[in-house]
Amino acid sequence: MVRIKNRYFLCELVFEDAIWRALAVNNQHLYNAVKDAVRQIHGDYGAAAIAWGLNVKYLNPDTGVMMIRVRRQNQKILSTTLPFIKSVASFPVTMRTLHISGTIRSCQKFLVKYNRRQLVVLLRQCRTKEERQKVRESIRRCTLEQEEEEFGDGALEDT
Amino acid sequence: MVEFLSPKSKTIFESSAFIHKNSRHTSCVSDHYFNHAVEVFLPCCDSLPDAVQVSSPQRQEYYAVKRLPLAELTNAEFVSRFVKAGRLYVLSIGQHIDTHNVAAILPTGRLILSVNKDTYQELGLEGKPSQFEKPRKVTKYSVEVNLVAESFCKGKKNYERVQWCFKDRLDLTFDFLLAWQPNDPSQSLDDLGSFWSSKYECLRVEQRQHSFQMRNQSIPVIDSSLLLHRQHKSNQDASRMNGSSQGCEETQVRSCDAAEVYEWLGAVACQCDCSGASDSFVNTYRCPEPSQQVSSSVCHRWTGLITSERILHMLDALRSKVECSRMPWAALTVHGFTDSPVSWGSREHGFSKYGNNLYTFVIFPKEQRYWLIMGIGDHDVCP
Amino acid sequence: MSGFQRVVSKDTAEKFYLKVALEFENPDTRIDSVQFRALVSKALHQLYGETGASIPVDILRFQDDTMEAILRVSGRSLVKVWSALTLLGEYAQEECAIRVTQVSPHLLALAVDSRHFFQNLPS
Repeated sequence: MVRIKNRYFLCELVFEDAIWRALAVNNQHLYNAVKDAVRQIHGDYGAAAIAWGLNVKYLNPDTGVMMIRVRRQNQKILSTTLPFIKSVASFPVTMRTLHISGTIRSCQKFLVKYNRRQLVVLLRQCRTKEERQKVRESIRRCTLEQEEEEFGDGALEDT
Repeated sequence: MVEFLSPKSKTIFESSAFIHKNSRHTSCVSDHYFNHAVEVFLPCCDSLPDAVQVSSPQRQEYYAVKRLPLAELTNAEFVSRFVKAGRLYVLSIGQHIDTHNVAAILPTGRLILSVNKDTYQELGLEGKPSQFEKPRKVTKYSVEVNLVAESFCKGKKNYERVQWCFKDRLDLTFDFLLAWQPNDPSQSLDDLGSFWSSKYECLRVEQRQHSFQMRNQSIPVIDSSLLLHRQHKSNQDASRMNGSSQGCEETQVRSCDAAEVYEWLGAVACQCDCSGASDSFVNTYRCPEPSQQVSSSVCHRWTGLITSERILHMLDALRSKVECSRMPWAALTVHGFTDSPVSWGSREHGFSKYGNNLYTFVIFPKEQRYWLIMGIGDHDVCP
Repeated sequence: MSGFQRVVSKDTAEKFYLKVALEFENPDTRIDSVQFRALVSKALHQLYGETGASIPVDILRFQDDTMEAILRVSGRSLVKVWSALTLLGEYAQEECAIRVTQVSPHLLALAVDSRHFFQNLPS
């Protein structure tokens, strides 16, 4: 038995207005957006090639981070299509590919690291004392290595 | 962007002189046995010169025999009357080499069969797997029978075995093309036709002709010493080492590359449009630079089955014509058969996506130099 | 300067040439070379999307009467152009088919076709 090799794309959805992402986005919308974009950029061949194994594995509506799975031989089709996705469920959006890896686990590791870095950025942007306290608390929780219970660190708040 | 593997191609460029002692032009022509078409391109000419016309294969006829069993061709009587008494060219037609069986008799007296696995196993003659097949996945075999060997005569085991295989085991029948160049000038092609005319359908076929003239056309300017631009630098270095300053100056003049000329010759032969603008929607191809304008040029083509002696003859006529006229150069192209089992000599030929085996001589008046460009496919061995 | 020089190039071909014939269901339909170029683009767009439509294709020759054409494409996009042309089934609301008769990296080789030459021998 040969393992089916996959690639996981970790992407960030950048909306013009952060409120939209909670409203608009669910797995089905994203799946359709990716599929339609592939059909447009790579035609029938690309759409058919990618249809087997394309899956939106994870979506965090709070941070707008998502993970898409494709078969490894088709990763080039997806990676060239992602920059051309302009809208999801008629909301204008830009996709930023954060990370590509072969397993969900390494994606998760990257995401934890990434989110931790983002917290530091947030801390610098904080204005009130209350906010600062909240972020500090989050960072402390990360460093205690409890994050693996909850995938992707949901403690990150919207700004 | 999705990428697919693209097929390979082999092109051989040679630059030499006819008077050079190691020049291979004779062997290149005479080893290429099965010639389907010959084409001459003469710039600065209004019509085909008589010298070339006389040497052309126009009056050389050949036979087409329908549904001829292979046993007839390996018959001892046929072998002694035709195969041993001249140069006989036999090639099966109508069968594709990549899917069907193909047979040919070379002028050297060898019968070459390229057969698929089923036929090979039924036939019972010894052969070897085709060299272009993957090991252990062989679907094509080539069988070789030497018809002029001493052991190949009535009563000998080898002969009886071959006859039995072609008669009793498997009745291999093909449509054949036959051309014959008898050693004895009193014999002629008619003997070949009358040999079978009672039993099989024999047709005497003439070479087909096609010619066209082009007016006010731009043709590339070629410097015979510059074959390819990649070699440009090494050429320059070589001439500097020889201490000839003249060679240095010459190389600075840009001339058309052999690959460009080759493509352009193709464009002329296919009567393509060579006037495309670089921003055109339909076609961006144009004649390579530098080019010169000529008032008229001729392209003439003969198609059929042409013997290599005839082509050698024609090449000589063309050489002397180029030397004594004001043509900047002239080109002679010979196309091989797509479905021939050999290309040059007894080198195996195959078909994968395309089955080219063709060569082109570009003949220059200066110092009897020539370029030889050979185009072969993926399933071919470099000559 | 009477030296002998020999260069063998055996990499992937830079250019490939295709000889194709276009057929419409209605035999009276005729198109010109510009429309044919648009048809090739359409075929590529259909199968390979916008990346396919951006493949450069030159129509070296188009015969209006027989609707035969010689195309020039780069070697790396040969498979894409070939498959897209083969899978085209319709142009301008009319059913059509493209038959690829010859493919070669040498344009000269398309001038003659020994495979189809002897099919119409007189019998």
